[in-house]
Amino acid sequence: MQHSGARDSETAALLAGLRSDVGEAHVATGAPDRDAYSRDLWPRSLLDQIAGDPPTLPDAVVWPGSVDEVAAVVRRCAAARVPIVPFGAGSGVCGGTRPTHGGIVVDLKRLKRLRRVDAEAGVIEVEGGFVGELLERRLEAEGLTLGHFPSSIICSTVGGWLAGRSAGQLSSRYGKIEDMVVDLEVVTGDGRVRRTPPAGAPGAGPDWNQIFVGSEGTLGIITAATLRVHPQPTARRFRGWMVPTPEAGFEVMRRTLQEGWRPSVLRLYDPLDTVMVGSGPEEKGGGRSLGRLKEALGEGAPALKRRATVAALSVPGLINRAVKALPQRSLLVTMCEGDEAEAGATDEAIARIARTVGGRDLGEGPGRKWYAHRYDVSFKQSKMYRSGAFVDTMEVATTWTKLAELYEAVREAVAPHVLIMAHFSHAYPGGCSIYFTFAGTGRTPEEMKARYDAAWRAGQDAVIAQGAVIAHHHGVGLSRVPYMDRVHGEARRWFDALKPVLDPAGIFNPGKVFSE
Amino acid sequence: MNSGDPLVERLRWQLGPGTVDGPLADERCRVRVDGTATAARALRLLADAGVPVVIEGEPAAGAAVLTVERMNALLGLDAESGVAHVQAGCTWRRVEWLLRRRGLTLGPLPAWLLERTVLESFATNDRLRPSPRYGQLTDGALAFAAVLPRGGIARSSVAPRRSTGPDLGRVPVGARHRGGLLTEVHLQAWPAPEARAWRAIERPDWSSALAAAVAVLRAGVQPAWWRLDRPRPRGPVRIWASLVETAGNERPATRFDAVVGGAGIDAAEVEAAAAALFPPVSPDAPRAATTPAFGTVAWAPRATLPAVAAAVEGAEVWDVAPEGGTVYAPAPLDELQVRRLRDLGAHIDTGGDEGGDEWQPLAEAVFARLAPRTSSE
Repeated sequence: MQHSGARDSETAALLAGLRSDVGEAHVATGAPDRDAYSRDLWPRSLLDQIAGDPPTLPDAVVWPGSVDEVAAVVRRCAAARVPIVPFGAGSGVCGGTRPTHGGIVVDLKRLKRLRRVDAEAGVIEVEGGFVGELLERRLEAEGLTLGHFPSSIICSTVGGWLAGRSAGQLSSRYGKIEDMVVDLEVVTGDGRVRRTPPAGAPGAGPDWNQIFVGSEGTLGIITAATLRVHPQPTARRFRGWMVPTPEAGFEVMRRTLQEGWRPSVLRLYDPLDTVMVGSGPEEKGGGRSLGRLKEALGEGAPALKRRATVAALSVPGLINRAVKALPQRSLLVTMCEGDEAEAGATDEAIARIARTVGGRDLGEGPGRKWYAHRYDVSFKQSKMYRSGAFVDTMEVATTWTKLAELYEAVREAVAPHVLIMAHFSHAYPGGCSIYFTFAGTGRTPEEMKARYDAAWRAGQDAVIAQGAVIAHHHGVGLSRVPYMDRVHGEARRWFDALKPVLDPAGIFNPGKVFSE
Repeated sequence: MNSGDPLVERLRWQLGPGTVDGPLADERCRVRVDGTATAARALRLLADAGVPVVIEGEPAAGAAVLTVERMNALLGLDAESGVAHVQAGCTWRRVEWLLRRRGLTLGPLPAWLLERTVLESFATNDRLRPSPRYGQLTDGALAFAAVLPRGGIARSSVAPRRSTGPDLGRVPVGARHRGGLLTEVHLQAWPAPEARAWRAIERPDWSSALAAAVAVLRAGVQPAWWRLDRPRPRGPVRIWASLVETAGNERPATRFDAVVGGAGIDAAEVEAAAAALFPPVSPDAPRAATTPAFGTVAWAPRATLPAVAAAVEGAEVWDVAPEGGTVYAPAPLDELQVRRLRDLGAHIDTGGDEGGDEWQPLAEAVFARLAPRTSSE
């Protein structure tokens, strides 16, 4: 095995053991499987691929079919001190499932049982490998919803959501995934299956739910979770508002939430993103800026348009300066749900507040358009890369008071490297996240990587300098590891105390979240 | 005057005059820290000297007692975001009073919480403020500062949510100071309500009362405060609720009435009870004659919550959610009662041995790794 240089006979013995644990058919050592599991959707991996840099392959991929099989795999790997990389559906965008130390990738998608639906108590118990969209369909048939709709919903799992502290598009109403957890079933590094105490239960010691959520497979494998669910809404109200400036949009979002209203969507586009998505009801591009970029750079785009777009991306400083001359008007998309009374009252409350800042009512169109295209861009990004361009997103968060300053600071910092735009879509009474989308290019694969890295460094450094949070819902993975010591400082000692207790052999997803 | 104890002298030199008393009869010294930096210096010195530290606790021979009563300032207020930056030695009364003067609030604070410090609430992870609208006080922290047992300072950025690994700020919460000393917290505050409407209704038993409470939540109403109680054994169960309203928006109250309307309790009685429950928070307001004694708090899942509540004499249910709720037992429970409630699926914090809780040894192992070596080791 690559991590330890163990002898072939030890490797063979481990693989034989794994086959006896999960069945011959559920262990793969062939090159295609190992290659497929060597990366997730981290855009930097695509750049490596374009540059011809070979990824580190796992030694094997296993698909356990039950929590007991997961525990057996953990015990076996712990005894052999072979790394384990837990894997959901591979939609992570930070390299969190890259097997940088080789070892065994444990794909959890066979753990896909919905163990319990208790509509009366408003909870479900679901296994970690359940794919998001399939789960929502099952719940919808029961008149329920989890309320968690990440744009990756068709290619992400419950366990992945929990491991990465995911956020769905309706987070303003239902919260992030960490807000939905009642308890977790976890396999710890000693191979034991444990159930965390329920959220809200009194007791001494750390809040184990919030320790495992976000741990990205470094402290244990989340095999199941009890999550809060809600009745399906019976009514929805959509609307678009054109507000004079982004700051006016912040005001509407902040006051709405601080008054105690719970809209499901408050989504504000910055001036460039407003132009990109368009404010009419029928425009192309899926109502999302990445959709527009994909159109301009994808294989279906006219060659001239593609070349022009790539040429524009090669002078990002110039384009970003030009963007500043755009009108500052910004599109705010809202969606309110519940029963008819609640959806209506919330919609009217937003209207009242929006009018005080000079908002212009655009009717239902923008909201409905966004809703129809809300999952359009989570995959197929590689088409853009083939045109010689790269795109990525960077989601950060801060308080309302610092939001405009953070927005400007990050734009300023990355402007020399990439074209940048943003929307603001996860709002809370105390603050909001900023979801930056950036695109760039380079004459060679190496130049593309250098620009990509420079943009990330500049952006994350600017966030840290502003005292803001470097990640709102994409997690740490590999991409943010270099910043984690600066972000956490001495708090890292808490992680260093947790890690050997929960993962005594040090096998869980090495090199992720914190540097070794 | 020199105390004759080199450690005490060193602490005085480093922390300033008037900060350290000692040596004392019952403990080596008593250190009154006034902020994160002072606490860090003190804990580092004490860790280096191998002296055990007791935070806000009973004196112990040879130990240093660290107190936080001087750590009681509002360090900053971001009124736009509604974020109050407070030192952990503040009482909730003090924080709320400082906020009210600026048109903000933490939400309803019952009498029994007012003299409790922020530190006490976080160190014990108390669940003493049932409020669907505002949440538990200990869940409303946007950031923290803490001093680790060996004197390092941990400080997080201020943001409503994050995705930067495990929520490490939850390690000291409920850890009774073993994970470190929490020194500062950024708390979510809210615009003070313009109006408040009280409601109280009755249901014949715990099952129907809890069903009514869940129906209220499902209708999208989030009371600012509520509790369920049963004043007479086998009598009706009452639901008391405070519904925050902005001027001109009577929706929460009308929705509440529409969902659980029916026999309401006399308005004057409700107002009187509310006044006793929520006394004024101004510093010169009279304090409760005695500190309320805290009983036992148990969390039970929805399926067994009515049975748990029925099994406890004088029970109040404080924190109802569809999946379960918190039962407050005003009198301490004996071993047999605890076992019976645990058999019903309740989670109970008895402040000691958790009855075979498989997480307790893990927590102990984590804290042991954080603890400085003491002179007895």
